[in-house]
Amino acid sequence: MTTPAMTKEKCKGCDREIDVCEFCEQTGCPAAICYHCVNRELKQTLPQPHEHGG
Amino acid sequence: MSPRAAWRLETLGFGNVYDYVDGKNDWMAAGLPTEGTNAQRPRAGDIARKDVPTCGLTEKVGDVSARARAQGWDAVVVVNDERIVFGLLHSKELAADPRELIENAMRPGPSTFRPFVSLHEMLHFMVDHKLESAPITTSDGRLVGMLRQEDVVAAMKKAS
Repeated sequence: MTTPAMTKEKCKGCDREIDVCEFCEQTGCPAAICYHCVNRELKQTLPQPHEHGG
Repeated sequence: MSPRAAWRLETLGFGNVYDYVDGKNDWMAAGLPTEGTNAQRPRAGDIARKDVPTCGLTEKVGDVSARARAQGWDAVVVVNDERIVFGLLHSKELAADPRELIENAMRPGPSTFRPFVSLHEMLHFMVDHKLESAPITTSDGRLVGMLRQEDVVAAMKKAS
């Protein structure tokens, strides 16, 4: 008996393997992106340390 | 603001100065007001539809689907009494067996986005990923509304 190979996506930002695109949650997404990269690109998280006025 | 900025403001004579420990992003994610150049740019939370239909885990797909159709929606957000987002139902899930419980039919733990994300960035992503709508929540998971791609396009046309 053979088990089907799981096809993993690659994050377009960091190239790491992911199960599903974090933005659209669709398998086979041509612009698949991981949780870390989507949050960074949408500026939902700020890299530390970051520059600010404080 | 940062602790250093807070200390400095106190030396300048300001009285009610606080260090907001969770940071600026958390402040903005809660929909609280900001000042400065970027504060004028339209953001996801400004135009997210607050009237998106919601439902609970223990409702039936048939009831929720009928309610969404009557309101002209093809998406429903699954929330608890505190409006914390548990799941999402799009057309596919709403077309499931009408007797099915929402808890079993929904897409659990959907990706959510913060209200302060700029419309320009959201549109870029939504077009690239062919995503028609995206749920907007505070950083503690409370539903703000549903951002629709058509609304983003209209808002950006109006702004330009």
